[in-house]
Amino acid sequence: MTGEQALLPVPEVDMAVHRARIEEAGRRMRRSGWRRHLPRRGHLALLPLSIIMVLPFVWMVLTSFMTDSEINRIPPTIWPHRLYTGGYSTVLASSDFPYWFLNSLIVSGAAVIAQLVLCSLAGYAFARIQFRGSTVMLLLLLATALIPFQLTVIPTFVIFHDIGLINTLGALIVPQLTSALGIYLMYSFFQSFPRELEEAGRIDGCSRLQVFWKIVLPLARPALAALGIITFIYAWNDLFWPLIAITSSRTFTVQVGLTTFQGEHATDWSELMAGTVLTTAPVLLVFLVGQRRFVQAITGAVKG
Amino acid sequence: MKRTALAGIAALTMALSACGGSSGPTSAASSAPTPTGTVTIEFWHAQTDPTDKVMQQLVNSFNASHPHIAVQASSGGTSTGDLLPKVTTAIAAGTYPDVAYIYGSYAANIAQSGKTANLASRVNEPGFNWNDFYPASRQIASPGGKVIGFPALIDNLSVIYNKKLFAAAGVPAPSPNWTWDEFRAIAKRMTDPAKHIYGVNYPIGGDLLDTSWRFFPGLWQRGGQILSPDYKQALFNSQAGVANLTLWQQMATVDKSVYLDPTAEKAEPLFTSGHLAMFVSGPWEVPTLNEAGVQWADVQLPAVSGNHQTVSGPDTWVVFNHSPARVNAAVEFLKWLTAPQQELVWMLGSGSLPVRPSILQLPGYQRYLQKYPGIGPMAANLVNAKEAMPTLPQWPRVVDALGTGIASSLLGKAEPKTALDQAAQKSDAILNVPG
Repeated sequence: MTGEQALLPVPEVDMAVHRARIEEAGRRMRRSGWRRHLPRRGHLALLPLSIIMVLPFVWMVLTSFMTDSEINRIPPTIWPHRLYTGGYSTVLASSDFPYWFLNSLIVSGAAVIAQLVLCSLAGYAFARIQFRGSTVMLLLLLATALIPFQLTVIPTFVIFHDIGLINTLGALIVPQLTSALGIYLMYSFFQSFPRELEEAGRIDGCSRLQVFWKIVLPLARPALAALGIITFIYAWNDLFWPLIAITSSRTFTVQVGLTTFQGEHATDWSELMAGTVLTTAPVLLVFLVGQRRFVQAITGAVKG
Repeated sequence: MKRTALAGIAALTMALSACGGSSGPTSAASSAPTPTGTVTIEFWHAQTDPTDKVMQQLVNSFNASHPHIAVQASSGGTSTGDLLPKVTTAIAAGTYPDVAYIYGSYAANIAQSGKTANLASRVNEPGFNWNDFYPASRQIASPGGKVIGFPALIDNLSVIYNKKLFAAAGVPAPSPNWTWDEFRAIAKRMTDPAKHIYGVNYPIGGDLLDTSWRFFPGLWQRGGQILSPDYKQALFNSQAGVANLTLWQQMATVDKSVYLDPTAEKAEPLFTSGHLAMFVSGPWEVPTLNEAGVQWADVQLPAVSGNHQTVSGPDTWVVFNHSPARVNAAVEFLKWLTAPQQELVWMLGSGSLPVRPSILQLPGYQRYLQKYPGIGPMAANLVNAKEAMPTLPQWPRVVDALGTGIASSLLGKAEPKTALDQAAQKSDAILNVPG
């Protein structure tokens, strides 16, 4: 609408119809909002399933407040007789858990930032820049995702040992700077991204990088959020490589640290569950905050 | 189960070791700044809180009293089970430590890597008192005739019983001189389905080594053997083996007095909750039982013809070969660490059993008995650990075959002889393929 059009007088009758339409739309929205909160038939099936999914978490939290005697009792103790916090205090005060938690945050945070930058750049390049062998390169890149890490662990270990990164957080961060899955996720997103928006930017004088930075990336937030969540959860939960690469207790990540509560024959369940609750909390938080964008990106609902 | 999964990963990394592109035996130890003339060695003890602190104190004492050797100690990773894939990866990459804690059942696989030292000519020198270690632990440390390290831990199986349940049932406590027939009768009497009380436990799932090693005492007591001396043929399906498994199978399927533990982890809570009268287990249960406030005592395994032989699963401090100077330093350290006085300090801090019989004669041993009530009979039972399980690379797969057979028989799915014959057939096939 131009400024000239805005100054034109609006007929009285049209305004009345317009107001009526707005009120009707408001009523509809209120009704549909109410309906949105009513249980539907599908919820009857989902409710028991969600209970099955949530039950292990509830059990974990309850167990973390029990003594080992209560945990080992048969029939099982469902509810702690008193709120025992010994597991938490042991984990926080007597172990290196604060270090493990900080290490995991550093590793996961660095992995997320690096993958957001590098995977989106690589994914955009594969989706938009035509160069010789791009399809073959993309296929080769994807093929690397089919090789189990257990098969490449020894050469990886040798490389990291030779460059002096073993037993440092660098050994945990560097392998996660980028990933085939992340590049493919961003590539898929940019493939479905409307070219017209980019072309408009180019016509207005933006360079390719400016188009990427100012137009594409702001609209790619759902895909970036999904990639960020996937990367965070993977980096946070990774056990095998940190177990191999790290030797000093204060350089452990939380997942490696948790294994120290399990002995050859005995397990400190109270401490293990307390540690697991503290370890799971950040993952849950990240997922809960970003779940809508995560679902959007995974279901391909985002079209820019 | 956890051990099995880790073992799989370890086996994989061992198999890949040939393509590891080893850059030579280098490790943090060799590059650490040390005073001139000091040999630095890396020590992975696999201890977690609180026993890692006890181990660190011992290492500090050694370093203070041996200025020419600097021991750099760390858990090496996490617990004993988790250390295995780590050590095998380090072997493949050529970054292995000088000393590491290794499960006895994997000693042969580690020895096969070719990176371990052979201490056979050293351990009989004066001052080592090699014969003072219990025989089973010496055998485990000597796979294929090589001595690859020092005994680190020894345990054994005995029968732990709930005194309160026995008193309530009016059953006298088991006599130390009991027989398997008496054991079966007591288990049957103690079983009370109405109160959900089982007579005794037998693990049939999880780690199948656990299923198999409970079978060995009865086999040995009846004069049977697990494998032929050349490790080429399974012998556990002999008459002795069948008689042994038949006893347990009859208890499980006819008397219904055996709790067949599907995960090998349920028997402990059953016992501490008063639902298991007799618990065939070992010294690792002592802290849990005392903490749970159970009224318990333990007795050696029942006998055949007065033979109360038990089984032991010793673990080893394996010495790796980086250079003669570092092997010498590692040997000097382990000689000191496993000497009776230091072992007693370790036992007081960890609750482990003595690795040398001479420790039982030390004045401080009484303090150990006071600190860990009930552990005395378990330590005394070590004299019944006369024989070690075989040490060969294929051993983990053999015990899987045997454990599967035992479990199927106890579940009533196969006759004992059939189950053992099938397990022996599988084992023979495994044994005749180079490990």
